[in-house]
Amino acid sequence: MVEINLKHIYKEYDGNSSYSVSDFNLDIKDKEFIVFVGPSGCGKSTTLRMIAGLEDITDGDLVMDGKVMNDVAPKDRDIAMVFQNYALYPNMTVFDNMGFGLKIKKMPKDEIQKKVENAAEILGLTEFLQRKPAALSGGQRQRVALGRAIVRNPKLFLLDEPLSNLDAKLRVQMRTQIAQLHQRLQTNMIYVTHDQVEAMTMADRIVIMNDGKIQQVGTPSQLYNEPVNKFVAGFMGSPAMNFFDATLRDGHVVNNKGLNVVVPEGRLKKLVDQGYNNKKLVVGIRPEDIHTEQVAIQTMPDSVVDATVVVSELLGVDSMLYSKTGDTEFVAQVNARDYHEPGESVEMAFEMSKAHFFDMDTQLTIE
Amino acid sequence: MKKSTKLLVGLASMLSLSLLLSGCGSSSSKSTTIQFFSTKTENASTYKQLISQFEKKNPNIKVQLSSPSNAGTVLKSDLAKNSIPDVMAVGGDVNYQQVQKAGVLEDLSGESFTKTTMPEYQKMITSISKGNKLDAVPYATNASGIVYNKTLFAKAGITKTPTTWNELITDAKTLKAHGITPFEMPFQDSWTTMGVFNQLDSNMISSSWINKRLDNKTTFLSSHKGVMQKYLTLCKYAQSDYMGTSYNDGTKALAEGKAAMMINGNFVIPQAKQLKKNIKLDMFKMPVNNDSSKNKVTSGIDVAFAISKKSKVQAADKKFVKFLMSKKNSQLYNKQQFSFSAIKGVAQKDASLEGISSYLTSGNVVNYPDHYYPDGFDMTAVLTQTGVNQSKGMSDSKNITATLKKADKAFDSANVKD
Amino acid sequence: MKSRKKGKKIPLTYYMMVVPIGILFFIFHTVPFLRGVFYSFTNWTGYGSWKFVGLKNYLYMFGNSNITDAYWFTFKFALFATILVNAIALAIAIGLNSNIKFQSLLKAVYFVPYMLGSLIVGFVFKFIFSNLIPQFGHLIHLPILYNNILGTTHAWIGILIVTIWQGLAFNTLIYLAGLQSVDPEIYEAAALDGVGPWQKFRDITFPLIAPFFTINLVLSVKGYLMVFDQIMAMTNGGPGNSTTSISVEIYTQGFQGSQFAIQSANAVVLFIVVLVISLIQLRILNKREEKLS
Repeated sequence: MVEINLKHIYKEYDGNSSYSVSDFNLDIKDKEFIVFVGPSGCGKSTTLRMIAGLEDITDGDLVMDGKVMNDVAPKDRDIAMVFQNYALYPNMTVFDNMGFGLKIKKMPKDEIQKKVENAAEILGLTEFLQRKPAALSGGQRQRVALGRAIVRNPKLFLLDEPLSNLDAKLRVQMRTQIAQLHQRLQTNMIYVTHDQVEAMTMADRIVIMNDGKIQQVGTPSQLYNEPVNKFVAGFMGSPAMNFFDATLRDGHVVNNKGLNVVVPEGRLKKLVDQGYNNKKLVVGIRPEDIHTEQVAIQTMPDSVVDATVVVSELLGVDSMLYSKTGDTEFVAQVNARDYHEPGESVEMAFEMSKAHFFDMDTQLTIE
Repeated sequence: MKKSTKLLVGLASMLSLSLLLSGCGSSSSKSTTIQFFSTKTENASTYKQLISQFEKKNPNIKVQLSSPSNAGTVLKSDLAKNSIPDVMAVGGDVNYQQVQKAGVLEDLSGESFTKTTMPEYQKMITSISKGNKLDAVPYATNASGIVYNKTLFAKAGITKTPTTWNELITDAKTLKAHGITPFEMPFQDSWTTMGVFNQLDSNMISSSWINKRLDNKTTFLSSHKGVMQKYLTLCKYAQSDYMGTSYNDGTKALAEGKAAMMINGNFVIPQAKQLKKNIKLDMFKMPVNNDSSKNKVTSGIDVAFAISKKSKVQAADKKFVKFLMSKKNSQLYNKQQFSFSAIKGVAQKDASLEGISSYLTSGNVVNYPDHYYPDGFDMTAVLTQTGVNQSKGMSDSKNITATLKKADKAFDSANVKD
Repeated sequence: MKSRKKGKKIPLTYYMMVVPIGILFFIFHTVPFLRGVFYSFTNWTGYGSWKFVGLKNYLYMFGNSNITDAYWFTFKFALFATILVNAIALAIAIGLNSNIKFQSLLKAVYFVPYMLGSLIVGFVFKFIFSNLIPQFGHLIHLPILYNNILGTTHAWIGILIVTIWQGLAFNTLIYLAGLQSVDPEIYEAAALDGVGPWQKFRDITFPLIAPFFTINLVLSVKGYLMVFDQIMAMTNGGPGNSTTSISVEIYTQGFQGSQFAIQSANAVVLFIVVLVISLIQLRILNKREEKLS
C-alpha cells in the first residue's frame, strides 16, 4: 500500500527526436487498481517500466510515499512485475521460480517454503510446484508469474499486458482471478493493456494514453460517458462510437451524404452559445444509442432516419446492423429480436440526447 | 538427355579428368625432362646457374630442380608414392640411408665420373650402403670445426688459434674477460646441438663403438661421460639464453660480432656473410683432446648424387651428373657454397676456410657419428633436455647421468629389430 | 503422370549436391584413413617391403616412453587450454553482449586471430618470444622476461598462450550467439528479484546457454587433443620432448623417423581416444542440457 506520484514525467530515447512519453502526471491513491490503456506505441509500457526502474526517467520525478525514486534500483523499490511473456526462469521449477527472489534476500528456507506454498494455494498451483515452465500451459505459466510477484509481498504490483498471450476464454477467467487477487491483497496495482474491455472491467481508474500523452484520467464510467475528446470517445466501447462530420444548421446536424437529424434543445443552446452555428463539427453517437424499436421511433420523431442495412451480425443477445443513410455509414446495436436482412430499409432513431459533439480542429468534446 | 542428367555426367567427367591430369607428370614427345631433387636449400641458386649452362649445351634436355625445405619428409613421401626423382642430391646422412635401403638407387661404381672422387669419401657411402655398392657419388663435403671471428680474437689479444682443449678453454675465458661472448649456441633449433656433440664424440670415442652399441654390447652411460663433461663445459661459455636462440638469430649474432665463435660447420660462413659481407671469419679444427695429434676434422658428405634405378631417362641423368662433376663446375660450386669438394684436385681456396682446408684435401677426416644412428633415434631431443637441465641449475654429474640414461633409453626403443 | 515426374525431379537435385562431394570425401578422407588403420598392423616404414605384425605396434606403444609422455603432455595441454579458452571466451562474450561502446568494432577485432593461419601465427609468435619479449624485458629490467620462454621448461606455456589467443575468437562467437538467445525479459525479472552479477551468471545465464557450452566444450577438447600447428611452428616438440603432443609425435616419428607403421597405430589410438572422450562429453552435457531446458 503506497501513495505514488508521477510528476511531469518525460521519456526520450537516444536517437529519437521526440518524446516517447511527455508530461505524464498522475497521483495514485492507496490500494487503487489503475489501468494504463491505449493503442500500441502510446507509451503505456514505457511509463510502467519507468515506474519499475527498468527504464531511466529523462525528466520529472517519480515519488513513492514521499521519497523520490528516480535513481533507486528496481530491486529496492519494493515492487513486483508480471511480464507479458511471463519471463519465467526456464531452468528452474515452479517452486524455485517463485522462491528465487526470496532466496537472494537470504530468507530462511522454511519461510520461503511457507510463502511459496501459500501463494501456490491462492493461485491453484500446488500440484505444479515441481514442474518446469516448459511443462506448463500458458495460463499456468501466467499464474506462476503472478505467484512470483505475490511472494515478494510488494507495495505495488506492475502488470504489463499479462493476458495478451492467452486465448479469449482464458483471458476472461484470468481477469476475474486478478480482480479477486486485488481484493484479497489490498495492494496497489498498475495494469497495462491495449484491451479497453479489460480496462473497463478491472480498473478503479483508467489512464488512457495516446502518442505519449495522457488523454484522460477517470473511472470507467467517466471515460465511457464523459470522454474529453474524440480519441477517448472512439477508443472506449466496443463496437466503437459512430462519428459523422457534419454542419450545425437550423437546429439540425446535416452532411451532404444524407444525414439530417435534430439536435435537442438543451444541447443546441450550448453549441450555439459556443459559436458553432453554421460551423462544421464532429458528431459522435454510440451504436447502442441508435434504436429500431417502435417505441423509440415514436418518441423521437425528429431523429428518425431512413437507413438501409448493409450487413447484419447476430451476436446472441444483440445484433449489429451495419447500415447506411444516404451515403453516411454507421453501426447500430439493437436487440436480436429486431432482425433485419441486408438490403432492408429500416427506420432508425438516433438518441441525440446521448450524442457527443467534438470540435473539428481540436478534437475536444464540446461541453 | 535430361538437363539434370547432363549436369551430373558433366560433373563426373570433370572430376575424373582433373584426377587424371593431377597424376600426369612430365615430358612431351621430343625433349627429355630430368627431375632433380636436392635436400639442401642453401645451394639452390648455384644449381640453377649450372642447370642453365647444362640446358644451353643440351637443348633437348630440361632439368627441373626441386629443393623443398622439409626435404627429408618430401623424399620419404616420394618413396612411399613410388615416384622417385631421376637424380637426387642428398647428404651422406639419414636421407641417403633411407633411399638406399629402399633399393631404388642405380649402382654407379662403373661410371667414369666416380673415378675422380676421393676414396675416403667413397668409403663413407659404401660402408652404409647395402651390399657395399657405390650407389651415390660424393660431390661436396662439409667440415666441422669452430668458426671464429678474427677481429674479435685480435681484440682480445688472442694471436694463435687453440690446438689443445686447455688452450680452447683458456681462450674462452680470455674472451669472456674482455666482455665478449665466447660461444654462440643456437640450440632452439635442436639440430645445432649435434654440431658440438658430433665433434666431441668423433674425437673421443672409437669408430667401432657404434657397432657394439647396435648389438647392445655397450651403453652411452658407460662410455660417454667424458664427452658430456666437455659438452657441458662448453655450454657454460655460451650466451645467456642459448636454449631460446634460433639458428638464424645465432648466425645473426655471430655476423654482428656479438659472439666470437660458433661450433658447427663451414656452412655457417655463407649464412653469416649474407648478413655482413665484410666480416672476417675463419675456421679452425676443434681441439677436443689435449694431445693435438689425436684431433681430427669431422667431415661428411654434404652432397652426393644418386640416380634412380627406375629412371626412364638414365642416359640423360648420367650426362647431367657428369656435367656437374667436371672440375670447372665443382670449383664453381665450391666457391659459391664455401664447401669442400670430394673430387680429387679441386681445392677450396677461400681465406675464411684456410684454417681447415688442408685437412680435407689430404683426406685427414672422420665421419659424423650420428650418420650411423638408427632411424628414429633423436639425440638432439636428449641434448636439448640437457640444456634445459643446465639452465635450471642441475649439477653437472646429475645432468650427465640423466642425459646418458635418456640417450640409452631412446636408442634402445629406436633400435627395433624385426 | 505429371505428379510422378515432379516427385522424381526433386530428389535428383539433392543427390547431385551430395553425391559428388560424398565421393570426393570417401576417396580423400575415408580411404586413406582405412589404409592407415591397415598399415598399423604391419611394419611398413613408408617405403620398401613390409609384413603383418598383428598387434605388436600397439603393444610397443604402451612401453615406449616417448609416446606415453606425448599422451600425458597432450592431456595436460588440452585440459588447460580448454578451461582457459572457455572461461576467457565466456567473459569476453558477456562483455561484448552488454551495451558497451564500439561493439561491432570490438567483435571484429576479437575475431581477427581466428582468420589467420595457425602456422603463420606460430611463426610470428616464435619471433615475438625469442626477440621482442627479451628486448622488452631488458628495457624494463624484468629478469623473468630475459630468456626466450620457448627454450625453457615453460615452453608449453608459450604454446598455450598462442593457442588461447587464436582459439578465443571461435568460442567467443558461439557464446555470444548463446547469450543473445536469452530473452532479455528474464534478466529484467531477475533484476527485480534483486539478483547480483555472480548469481545472475550462475543461476540464469550459464544454465540457459547450456547447448552452446556443450558445442564449445566438445570442439575445444577435440581440437586441443590434436594440437599440432602451433607446436611445429614454435618449438618442433622441444626442448627435449617437453612439448611433443601426440600429433607432433606421429608426424616426426612417423615420417622423419620412419616409424610409419608404429605411428599409424598411434594415430588409430588417438582417433579412438578423441572419439570416446567426445562421446562421453556429449552424453554428460546433453543430459545436463535436458535438465536445464
